[in-house]
Amino acid sequence: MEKGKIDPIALEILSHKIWQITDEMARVLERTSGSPVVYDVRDYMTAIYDTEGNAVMVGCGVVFHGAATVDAVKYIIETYKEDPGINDGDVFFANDPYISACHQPDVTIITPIFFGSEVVAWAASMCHIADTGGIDPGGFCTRACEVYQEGFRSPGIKIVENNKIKKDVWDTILNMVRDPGGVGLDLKAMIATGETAKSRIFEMIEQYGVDSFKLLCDEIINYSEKKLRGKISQLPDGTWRSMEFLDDGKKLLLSMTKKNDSLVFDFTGTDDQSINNRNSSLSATKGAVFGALAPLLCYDIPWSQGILNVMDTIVPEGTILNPKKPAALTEGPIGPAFLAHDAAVITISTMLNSSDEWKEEATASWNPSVSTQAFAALNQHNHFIVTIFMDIQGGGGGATPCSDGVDTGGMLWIPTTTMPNVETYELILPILYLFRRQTKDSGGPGKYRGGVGGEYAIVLHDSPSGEAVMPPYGCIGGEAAIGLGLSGGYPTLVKQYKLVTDSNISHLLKSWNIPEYVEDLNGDVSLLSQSDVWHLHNDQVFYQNWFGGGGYGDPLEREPKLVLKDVLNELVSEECAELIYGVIIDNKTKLINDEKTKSKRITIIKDRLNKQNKYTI
Amino acid sequence: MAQRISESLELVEQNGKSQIKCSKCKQVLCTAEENYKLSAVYAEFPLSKAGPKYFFRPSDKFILREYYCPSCGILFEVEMLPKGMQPVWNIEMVS
Repeated sequence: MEKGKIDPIALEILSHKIWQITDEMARVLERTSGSPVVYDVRDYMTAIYDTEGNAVMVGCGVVFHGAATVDAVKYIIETYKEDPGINDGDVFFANDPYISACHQPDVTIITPIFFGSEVVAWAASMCHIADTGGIDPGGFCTRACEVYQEGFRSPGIKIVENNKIKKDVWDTILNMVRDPGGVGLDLKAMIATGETAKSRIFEMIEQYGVDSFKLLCDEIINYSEKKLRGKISQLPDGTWRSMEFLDDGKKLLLSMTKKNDSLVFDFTGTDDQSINNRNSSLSATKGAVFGALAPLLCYDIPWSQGILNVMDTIVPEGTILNPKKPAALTEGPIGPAFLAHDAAVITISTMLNSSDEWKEEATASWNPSVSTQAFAALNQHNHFIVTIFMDIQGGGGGATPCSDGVDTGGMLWIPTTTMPNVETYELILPILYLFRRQTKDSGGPGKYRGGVGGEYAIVLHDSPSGEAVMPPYGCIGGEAAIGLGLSGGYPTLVKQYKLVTDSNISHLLKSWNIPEYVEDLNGDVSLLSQSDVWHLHNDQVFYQNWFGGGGYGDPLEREPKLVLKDVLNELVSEECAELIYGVIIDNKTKLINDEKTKSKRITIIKDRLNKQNKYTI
Repeated sequence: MAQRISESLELVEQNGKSQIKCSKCKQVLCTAEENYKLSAVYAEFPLSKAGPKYFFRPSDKFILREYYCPSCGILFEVEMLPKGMQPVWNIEMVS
């Protein structure tokens, strides 16, 4: 690099160097934390910021937090620079959703990086800790009606000073949580990532100098903004809208307007805030939009402040996406914020689909939520453990204008996520999986099918207490279908939780019979409501399914041989093949009956045309 | 020359006006300043239309509304919304 200048090749190489630093921070976090939420699910984020707290590089963790943690770093800089001061060897803890966090369990650890006596950068990592000491275990606080019931919440507190953990602060935080061992390990893992960032940035500064490093940070941000504006300006101007719903009927409306090289995401028309914890913090809402924009339009652009500069977000105060204090918000990120993300995916994709050049970048909704439940119990090792079931990470991908969605492909907003291993959960929890598999008919039908989601069933096994508490979370996708399709594609399925009581499962397992369906068991099968806190006892079976992806295009345009392949692979039922796709498969030969298929599809079209209903306003 | 709007819709300049047409059968639907859904024919179904009944709770709160070309019957869009709610104007292109 020449002084005061960075040539394009150096910019490309060195921006990847900084990206590598965020990746190394992530590896440190995974290898140090003991939580499957971190090392399997990758529900974390790592990032580097400039001296003013602008994001220079957001890593491939939970993309939502790329936007939210900018607020955390800026708040620390503005609020605490004088008192208690910001010094070399300090580390800060922050988790207040009314300032920066998506919700209290998403804790950010923030490290100032000094070279000599000046701050040259900031590093931050975020991970979802197992508990915050709120009204319900697991951090999601189903019964909370105020933020004060949702556990420990700090706008920013110094947790390390002069390279030494502050014992009074440390003890206070861990004293308030149900799993101090697990939470303590997560905090130490995040502190370690800051040390990793420090040593790598020192190496860069020793090689290139402080001024060049700062110039590099500015140039990355400028480059991101310029590149994204360049892309956007190639797309047609217009307004695209999406409306989505919580299960209780509360509505979210997004109008995304693109004019020249600007994008405005306007949530005006969204319903008022909830009286329960089904509200998204403003940080989570902005993060949700960023979480759609980054993978869809910025897969070849550094994820930096430059992207946030292009993204203009209007979120009226007092709504489910920007509530007033003291509204509860722990379900925000996996409820209303997810709807905001899904709406942003749909509007951005509909815009991309309006361009012959860019249409193949469009996608229907990916697995649109992480609705699941915490699990708190004395485990088989007599240790009290709290964790979250994250099998739902293996959600279906949205279909595109040229391909089916990826079956159990993951989540759009955590590009690197994996499903936790069955063996991991069975090792740390007193449970046994009866099955875990892909779910037939869970991919939204279309010319291109949404990827399928999955399902599992568990029982307690070797449980010292014979009981587990399972607070559910996720206020979407249980009644209103989410995971919408595009251009005539259908949405994915609606999720279900079931409990079988008074079952004969112990008897079956003793005789080595594992049921294929929960309905094969003796006992009472009931659908569970997400408004309650669930309990699992011996001889009960718990079942959950999760979302696939939305479909693309009219299902009648799907090639019959692809429908047959789906049926033979048990991804689509013969019932759906006939009713939705209009494909008739011979029962005996399992081949397509071409004549009957042609006739069926003509009949469906005639039925459509016979409707003759037109909407008038 | 037609400008793509979606899989089955296009925007065409004709006689000095911008019109939205079905891209499959070229049926004229409306002008660019109007919501194409109001020119489509529609039908409403329970959510279970999208998949087997056992995946859906019995509920009449939400429905699927399908919009078709009035000429060739191609499915333009599927909406999920409460019964009785007006169509969302989901694509408003600048002509």
